[in-house]
Amino acid sequence: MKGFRSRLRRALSKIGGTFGYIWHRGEGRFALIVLGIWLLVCIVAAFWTPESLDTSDGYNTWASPSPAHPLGTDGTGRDMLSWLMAGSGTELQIVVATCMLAALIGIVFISFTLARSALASEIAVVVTDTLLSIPIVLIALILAVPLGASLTVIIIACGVSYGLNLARIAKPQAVLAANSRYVEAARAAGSSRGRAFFRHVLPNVIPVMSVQLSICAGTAILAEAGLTYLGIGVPAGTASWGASLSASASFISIFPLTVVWPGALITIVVVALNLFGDSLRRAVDPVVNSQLRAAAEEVERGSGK
Amino acid sequence: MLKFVVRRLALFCVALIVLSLLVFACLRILPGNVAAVMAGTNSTPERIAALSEQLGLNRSYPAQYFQWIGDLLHGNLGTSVLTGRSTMAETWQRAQVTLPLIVLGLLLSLVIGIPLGVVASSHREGGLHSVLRYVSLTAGAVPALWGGLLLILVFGRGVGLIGIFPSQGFPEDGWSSPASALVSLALPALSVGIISGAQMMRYTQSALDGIAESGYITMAMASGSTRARAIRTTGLRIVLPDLISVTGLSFAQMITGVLVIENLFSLPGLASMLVTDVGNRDLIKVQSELMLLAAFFLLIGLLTDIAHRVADPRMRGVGAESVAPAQEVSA
Repeated sequence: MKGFRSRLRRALSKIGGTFGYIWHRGEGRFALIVLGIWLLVCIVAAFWTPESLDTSDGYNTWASPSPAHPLGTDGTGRDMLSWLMAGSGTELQIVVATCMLAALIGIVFISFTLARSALASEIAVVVTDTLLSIPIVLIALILAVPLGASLTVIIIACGVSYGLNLARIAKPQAVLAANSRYVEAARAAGSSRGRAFFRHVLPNVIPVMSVQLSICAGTAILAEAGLTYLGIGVPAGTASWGASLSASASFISIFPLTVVWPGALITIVVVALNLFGDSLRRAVDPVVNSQLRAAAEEVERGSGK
Repeated sequence: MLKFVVRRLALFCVALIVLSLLVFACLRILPGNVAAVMAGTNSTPERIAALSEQLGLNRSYPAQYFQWIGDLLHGNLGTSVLTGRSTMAETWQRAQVTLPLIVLGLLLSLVIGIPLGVVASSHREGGLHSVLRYVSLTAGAVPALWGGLLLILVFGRGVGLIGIFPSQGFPEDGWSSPASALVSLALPALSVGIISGAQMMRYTQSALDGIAESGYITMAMASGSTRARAIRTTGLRIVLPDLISVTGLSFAQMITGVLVIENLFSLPGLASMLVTDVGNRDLIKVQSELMLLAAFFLLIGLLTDIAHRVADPRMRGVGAESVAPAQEVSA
């Protein structure tokens, strides 16, 4: 128990250090602020929005921004700000679920590529290489036939696609770690293959994976907007940024201002997620981060290699 | 090389079979049976029975599967139950809008992305570098729908500030008047091309940055070329295989955006057909369409891998395992 607690503390301080590093650069700070506001709005919108989502102001459809409706209203007189706030929660659900699924699939495929059996690793490589050329929207269309328009369609289609990509990107790192001296030592000391994988190989892959996942999060938001517009994403009546964007899209020529808000919001958040990914890479990737590189060289020298 | 092609072809066939099983299964795990779904909620049991007889749905799953695969192999994609039109003919007609749009978008993205990527990689410090970085970052983060809308607001005929391009529809007579067909694809292709071009620029730049410290560029510079020139000539040739792979993958990644853009500009392409058919639950037709498209993208993947191999002379003696560059994802 005590060992677990100290390990947890070490992990937390490491994560804290990484965030500190990100915060110290302008780009990273921008990303953290935008993402922080997003989380805050999600929490607030879960309990309160300026207008109830069901209220529609029938006399004020397509209204321009006003004190009553800070971002105006849409075609049925619903308050744009309230719907965007409520949508941030949906968006967070999609992003978190997609990233978790992608990470899971990525880890499973990486463990397959490292498997002892040549057949298993062969299958993993074949599946990743061929399925990668199938577009997300096609997977979503196939899934939409039995499932209809739902969050599940977006999450599975994106999660599978990003997971396979993740496996392919993280593979070199994983192979390097699996063939390292410390894994050999751990195996010689009697730890099982599985234990060696989780204790030694996986921690090596996590930095690469988290960078990639933050970029996946951005593309998942973009995919949500696209799939929802095509009618196979978020179902009608559920608030999401893509749904708000699609709803205003058909009347673009008459009410151009309404369409600005959801689109700008999506762009800002996706940029923030990409910048976060870039900063994270800088913080955890020894090839880019000179401090980490120096530390790694220190260790190399210390081990008398 | 031959060994590689044969192996890759075998993979292609295996992938096709797995995909066909997947598509077939997804359309059979519907609640209720396919015929009942297709006939609609108000149909009589006799109508359902007649429909399943007509479509061969009362046979066992393996029998249905092999019948379907046999038909596909003979180029027979069946006819739509709702419209009675041949699926093959309709898909082909729709593809005549979608494929040119994809190709135009891809060309634009290469024309935008590669030169800018080279410029960004040649100027590694200073104002231009960061301006290009932020431009590509922002342009790559724009949802395709919104990008298209903004372009309509600027260039759309009748609604835009500089109304020079039509923002809706495709000529009735299709490609028999190529000029007006091309003009009606201008804004859609631009929307897709700019977003994809931003990503292409980031790939080009990071690939070029990756070899910037290598001996290749130093060698070229030692032979008397400037740094910019070394990157343009030697650098681009070395990263060419990677760029080919990325282009092949963008082909698959662009398609979500392409379908959205098609709907936005009311182009009679594959998007409206697929979405309508999935919505109408014209299931047998959807099954063949999805399979056809999946096969098409697998084929593109196959061709990309072979082109990658041809473009990289270093790979000629190497074993058959596939080498693809590390790659970022995009929607």
